[in-house]
Amino acid sequence: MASVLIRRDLISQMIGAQFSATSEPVSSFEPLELLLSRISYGARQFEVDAAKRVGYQDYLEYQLAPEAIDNTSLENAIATSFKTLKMSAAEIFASNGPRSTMPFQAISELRGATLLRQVYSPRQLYEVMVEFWSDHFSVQHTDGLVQWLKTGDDLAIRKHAMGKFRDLLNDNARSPAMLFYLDNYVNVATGPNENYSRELMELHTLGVNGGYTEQDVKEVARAFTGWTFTRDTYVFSFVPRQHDANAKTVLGRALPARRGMEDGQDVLDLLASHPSTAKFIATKLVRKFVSDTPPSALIDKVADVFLRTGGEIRAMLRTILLSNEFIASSNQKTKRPQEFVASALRVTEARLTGETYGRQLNSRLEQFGHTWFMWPAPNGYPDNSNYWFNTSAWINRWNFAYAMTEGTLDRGITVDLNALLAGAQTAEQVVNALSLRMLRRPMANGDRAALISLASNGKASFEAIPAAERMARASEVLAVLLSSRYFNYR
Amino acid sequence: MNALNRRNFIKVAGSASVLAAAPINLYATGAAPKHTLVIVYQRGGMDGLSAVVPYTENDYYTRRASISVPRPGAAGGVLDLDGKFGLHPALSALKPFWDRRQLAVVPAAGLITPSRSHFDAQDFMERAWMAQGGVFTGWLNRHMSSAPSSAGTFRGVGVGTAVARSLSGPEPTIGLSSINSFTVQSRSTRKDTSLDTLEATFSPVGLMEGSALRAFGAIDALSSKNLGALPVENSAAYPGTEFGRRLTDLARLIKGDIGVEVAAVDIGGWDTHDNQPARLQTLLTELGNGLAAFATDLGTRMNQVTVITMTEFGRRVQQNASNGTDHGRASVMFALGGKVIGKQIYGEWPTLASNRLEDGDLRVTTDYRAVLAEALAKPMGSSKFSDVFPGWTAAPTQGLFIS
Repeated sequence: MASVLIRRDLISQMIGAQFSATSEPVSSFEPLELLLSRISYGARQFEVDAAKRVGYQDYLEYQLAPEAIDNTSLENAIATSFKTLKMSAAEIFASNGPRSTMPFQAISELRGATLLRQVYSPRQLYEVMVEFWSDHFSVQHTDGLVQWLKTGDDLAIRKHAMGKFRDLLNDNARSPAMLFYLDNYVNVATGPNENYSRELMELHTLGVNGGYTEQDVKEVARAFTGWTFTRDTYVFSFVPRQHDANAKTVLGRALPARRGMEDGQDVLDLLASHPSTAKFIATKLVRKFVSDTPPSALIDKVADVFLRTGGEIRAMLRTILLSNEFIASSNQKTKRPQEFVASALRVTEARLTGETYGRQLNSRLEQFGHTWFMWPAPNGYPDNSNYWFNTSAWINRWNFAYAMTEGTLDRGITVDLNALLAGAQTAEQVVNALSLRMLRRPMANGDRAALISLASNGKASFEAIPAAERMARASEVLAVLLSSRYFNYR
Repeated sequence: MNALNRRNFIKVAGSASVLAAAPINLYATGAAPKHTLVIVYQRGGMDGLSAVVPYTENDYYTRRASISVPRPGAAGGVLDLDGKFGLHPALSALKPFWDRRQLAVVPAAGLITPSRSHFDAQDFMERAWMAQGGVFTGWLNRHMSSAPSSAGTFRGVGVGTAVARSLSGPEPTIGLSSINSFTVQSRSTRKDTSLDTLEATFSPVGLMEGSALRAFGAIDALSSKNLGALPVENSAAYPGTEFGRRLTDLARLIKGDIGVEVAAVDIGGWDTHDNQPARLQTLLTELGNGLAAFATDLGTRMNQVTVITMTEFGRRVQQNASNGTDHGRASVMFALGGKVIGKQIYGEWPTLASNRLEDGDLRVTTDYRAVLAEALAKPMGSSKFSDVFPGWTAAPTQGLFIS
């Protein structure tokens, strides 16, 4: 206890009034650093270097064209390790033991691949969008047949994550995982099930105030009667005899009698081109990339792009990421737990090796309440800071940061601190080197002084930290940086 | 002891530092409040008609042909409550509390403003404001604002990975996923120094940073009391589920007298569009056993604790073709505790007769706010309804609670 007292007295004397400087607001990002922070899971050094070389606009265009970014080594490694990823649902059933048993392999491999892609894929913006659409079309991975069907559902989302909204919606309406999760597979003429119908309009397209009525919910449910999947091969199928062939009216549009799949098809067309859908999708995208309280002028602009381009996702992203509102949005977004974890691994260039790290990271994310594809409702994990930050949430983040820097997170997760220090020797140099890499922006003076004091441990900040202590001090600085308010903004 | 020392030290040093800017009770565990209100939120929309079955109505059995719960006495039948309503057998653990007059049932409660959207309805209920926008704080947080208290850091607690919307707002609250994880683990011999530095880098402005600063104080308050080691009492048997663990820890916080005045706990999974009988069997067992264990564990302390359950809506009277039910209107609220006037079915029962239904659904005859308001007025001793329930001009229920 005495040593603690002495230390704090010392800090007070050394930096005195500067402690009150902590009420300084968090500094803003420069535009390029802000872009990197928002379109990736935390920028790695080579990405920062590349972006600086080509500039803001070209780097954005590069990330907007993921098909041109080579990711074969990552995808080959994933394909080699994770055999279920390209399996059909029937194959997963066949290879994962009896049907009553949870297909642990399929679930853990999809989680593992998602983690590896978030951390290692060079197509970072694409992975951000995959996460975005996985929330938009959320299914809970452990819910019944979703356990077997999510693997294929993920492939469908990945196919159009940067394409056209209409294609995403179209595939999703036929995705066996979604058909199961929202019960449309049992939506039949003799007893309609409204679950998919309601969420299709409320969550996937129009938004809750998008102009549909309770009657529309019932009519749309009837329009999708007979949309199901085969019970032997788990592929989409339309069963005409289960379809309600009477006339329907959806959002004021008459759907004539005696038709089949055209009913659902027409509804999807109607919804995908509806101004309410444009506004709803635009709002969610602006919230994702700009602010928890998305500015309405930008929403309108993006909704307009949606309507003009037929829901072209790249065009909407370009509009957002080149807007003034975006450039001015530092500190308006915070990291969700997956972003926090992935970015901690990325900015520290952590190495993931062996068989155990996936399980460890998964259990950490469970603690955070943010495992992949596990939100228990069809609206997807929340995208706002208030939800994700409370006392326990902070404590979980600090535990992750301390364990990772102390090397106790998992034996397969290692950080080469020496490489991050790049020759830094004094307390000042250590704090400068690490804060640049971790935060990509300056700290408030008082905060920086507190960290230098931590690193110098009573010695002068410009003297080299004795070699025997240097790594321990640097590790403490790293833990505090990753735990700080700065790092938790996105 | 390390943490405690660190905190004692900061209290000494704090006057000259940034901590001076924080409210003085930031790190305090306060005086025990007069009463603790626990809100259990059943997310997804519980089918009230299965939880508390109007078993004398034929309409129930004809419209629920393949998913109804049998009449009392039949195999798997309901447990009769009053000759008219029966408790789902999976809730049998609650029956003794009914018999001891500590459990009351409000069978047609809900939102006066209809919404069949989960997310709107939950949001309306938790903000207690029946429209999007306008009011952005939760009703429990507004209660905290309207009734100043000497309770400290732990006055409002959300148990779980997230804090319920009803608790959100300017009054500081604690989110606690479990007592045992509520500490920072480090092998470093300089852990305290490092945490002091971290704490100093947070500014006391903003929700996100405010909760970080609160975490430091709360860690020390909890670790000094070692509440995680408190035993479960009276042979209470909590379910081995997340919900069970949350209630176990909440009971520990209450027993620890650290000033918990309002708490919110979630239990999810109630959106039974299909396979409803099996799903409700599991869920109602978890709910009933959990609440019964909580009340058993707290024993006589339940004289100072009231538990109220709520859910965003009930479900359609007419079942669907998948042995499930779609989104409807009224559902059931339960009130449990020593200050509850139990063994009664409260409110007007609208019946399932087709001319009494609202768009095919059970009518809401008791505004859920009326139940909450009486709980605030009587056991909690606060009647600032216009602050807590803005725009609400009706009266609290009468006769569900005593003071």
